[in-house]
Amino acid sequence: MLNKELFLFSIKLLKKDRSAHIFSMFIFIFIVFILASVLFISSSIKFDLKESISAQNQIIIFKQKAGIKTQIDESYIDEIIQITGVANVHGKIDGYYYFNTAKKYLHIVGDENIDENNMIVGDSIKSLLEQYYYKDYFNFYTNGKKYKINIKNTLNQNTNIISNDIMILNNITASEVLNFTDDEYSYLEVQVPNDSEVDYIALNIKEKFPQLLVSTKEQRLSDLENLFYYKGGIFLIVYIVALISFFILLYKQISSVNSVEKKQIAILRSLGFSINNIIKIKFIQNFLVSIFSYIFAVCLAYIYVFILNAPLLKNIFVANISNISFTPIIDFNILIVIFLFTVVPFLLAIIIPSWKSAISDINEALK
Amino acid sequence: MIKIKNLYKSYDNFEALKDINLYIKKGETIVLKGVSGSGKSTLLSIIASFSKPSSGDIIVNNIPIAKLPDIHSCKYRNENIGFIFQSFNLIEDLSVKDNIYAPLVVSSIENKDEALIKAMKKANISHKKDELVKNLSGGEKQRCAIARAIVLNPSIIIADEPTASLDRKNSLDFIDVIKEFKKDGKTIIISTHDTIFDEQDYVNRYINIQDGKIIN
Repeated sequence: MLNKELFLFSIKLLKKDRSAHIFSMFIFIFIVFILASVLFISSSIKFDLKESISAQNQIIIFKQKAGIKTQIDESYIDEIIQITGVANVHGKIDGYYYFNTAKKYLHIVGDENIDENNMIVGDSIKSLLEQYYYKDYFNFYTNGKKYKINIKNTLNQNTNIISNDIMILNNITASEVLNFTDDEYSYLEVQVPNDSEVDYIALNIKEKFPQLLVSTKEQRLSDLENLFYYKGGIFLIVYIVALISFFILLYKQISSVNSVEKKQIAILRSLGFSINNIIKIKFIQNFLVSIFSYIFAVCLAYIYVFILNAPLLKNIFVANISNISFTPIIDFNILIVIFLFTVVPFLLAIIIPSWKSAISDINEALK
Repeated sequence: MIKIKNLYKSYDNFEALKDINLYIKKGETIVLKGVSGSGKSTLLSIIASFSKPSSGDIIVNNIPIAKLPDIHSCKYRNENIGFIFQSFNLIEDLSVKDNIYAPLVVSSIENKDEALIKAMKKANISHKKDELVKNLSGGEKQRCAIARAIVLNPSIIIADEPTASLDRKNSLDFIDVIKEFKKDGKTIIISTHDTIFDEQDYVNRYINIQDGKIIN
């Protein structure tokens, strides 16, 4: 049972020793801040990618040549639409235009609902074009021909990471800018009304056209999960090594005969404090320090990622997007994992040396 | 009442106490005399249950403390012993009041604030209650240590070289405090080699310790 007076006394001792806690608090905040920022960014990107995949049709078909995705021609549409269960098949224009002046690739997506001379651009693209004085239009150059397209609208910065970085053009214009022929598409989207038939139809298409790459929504989501497990795994290993080093350092610092601390424990023991009381005091003090640092660091990470858009750290994840806003996604499982990986070892690194001091001979420690 | 029988204490290969047999009646004042390293402090630390004897028995207020588990020996220390150290052993960055209150934190007595005020008044340190201990003079620290020792009204007061860090005036003041304790019926054990305690009428017995043995 936690005694109120023991709690208040622990706070008094904590206030007294506040300068001693500042170093570990600073390091602790830094570690949790970095960890939380990285996890916030990755879960935000993951969320946006998932949303984008969810907005696509159940089956997507690519053509590949020598393992590289290439344009797929219209002739496949007529054959695929014959397959039982398929409601509709349509071609999609999606590719990259190289903006030579900026030395950047611009992501172009075709949409039949947009006029031929207009386009909608993501906020990130809008900022990039403005840097090169393209405020209301942009000139695409393909095969010596100039395409002057007006910027009709800008996608809100708060939309997801994918739409932030795209230029939506009319299908025909997009096709010409990307140097596609009239009957070429980037990929085909297959609409299947009955979800339970998706796998069967995908298999059917694969068997009929072995040269095509058929991907179901489920597979794409699963690939995304695997990618994030793989990336997250690498990050976690690196981070665990850093954390272990920090806690070893902390443990060594605390156990390296802090004579004042040891004497204080011995004084309390001489006054009737049990080993259990000493551990409770240390637990209360360091739990408060770590929980405060944890909450502070998580809030700081939230502000850094979702309000300031993670300057510096953003470049590691989305280097080619200059103006991006991360969708504020908080995964509470991640917060629990951060808590377990930081607060628990921090408490152990402090309580074990204190326990060792508490069980040592009072008389010796008081000398 | 303190009853010590065939008590030994050794550290590694060194025998700090050898075959100690001692009986101290309730309300007695005992002065332990002996040179440094003779075993006086070791004996006091065993009576206060800071450390356990290697062998032998020790019964204090009918509690056999030689083999008490930690949780019980803490309770015993808290309720029965008021220890005054040579170097005071106060928590320097805490206030006088907080230092004196420390034993009350783990005590189950009622009216803790009343006990605190009473102890500060008795040790004449009330006027410095909010002062940090590190800002006190040696005599004031001694009074703070005395207040802390008596805050739970223990039946036994142990003082280990209590005047070693004090000047003559403060040492005489301390003797007055001891006389007060005596009047209150407390059992007092003082370890010293200060001559200020010699031939004092409030002292019931002088016990000489040499090489870990009682020699008279």
